[in-house]
Amino acid sequence: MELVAELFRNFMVVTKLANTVFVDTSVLLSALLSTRGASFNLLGNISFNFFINEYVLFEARDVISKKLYRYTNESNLFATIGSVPLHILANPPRKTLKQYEKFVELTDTPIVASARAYTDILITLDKGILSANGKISGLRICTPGDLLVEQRAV
Amino acid sequence: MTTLERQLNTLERQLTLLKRKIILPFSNTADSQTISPIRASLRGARRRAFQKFYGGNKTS
Repeated sequence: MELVAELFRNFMVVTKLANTVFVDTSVLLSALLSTRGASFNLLGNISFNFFINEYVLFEARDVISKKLYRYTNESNLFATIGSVPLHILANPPRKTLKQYEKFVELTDTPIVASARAYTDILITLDKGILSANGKISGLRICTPGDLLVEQRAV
Repeated sequence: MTTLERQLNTLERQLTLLKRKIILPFSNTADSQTISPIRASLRGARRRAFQKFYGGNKTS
């Protein structure tokens, strides 16, 4: 199983799909909670291939169960993941995290590492991660609103 | 090509353009308003996620 996961990881790294977007937890939860925001509207856009990883999934479930249980639930989360669709990646290996520590907080490195390995764009509402935009080669970091406005202008 | 066919082609092109322009409005502030009250919870969840998947607080 590990071998299959490793092969898939290598395949994805070598053949990065076009218009690939990694979705941070803040964006995923915002899309779940509000249909008025750019997060919800962007995730309905079929021009992009969206990805999350196990780390984001754990975080989203954690926040829903501890804080948001009055407003949404895990069924909505999994329905959203299935309908967008959001592809779930394995977490990046620990050894790949260190190179991103100088750009973002330690706990944000698994997000940036997965986004850099598998996608072109990372969308987030986290100001700390947004401040790393332009510092990591091959990865653009922006808000869902920025991406949506750009996409609609094309 | 008959006049009717030309008109049909024109209509099809206009329909395609219209489809591209059908966009849902969104509020620039809605996302931040939604996330602001749960920012602290998100940070807490992120710390727990790191602890769960990577254990300690060092990457090396």
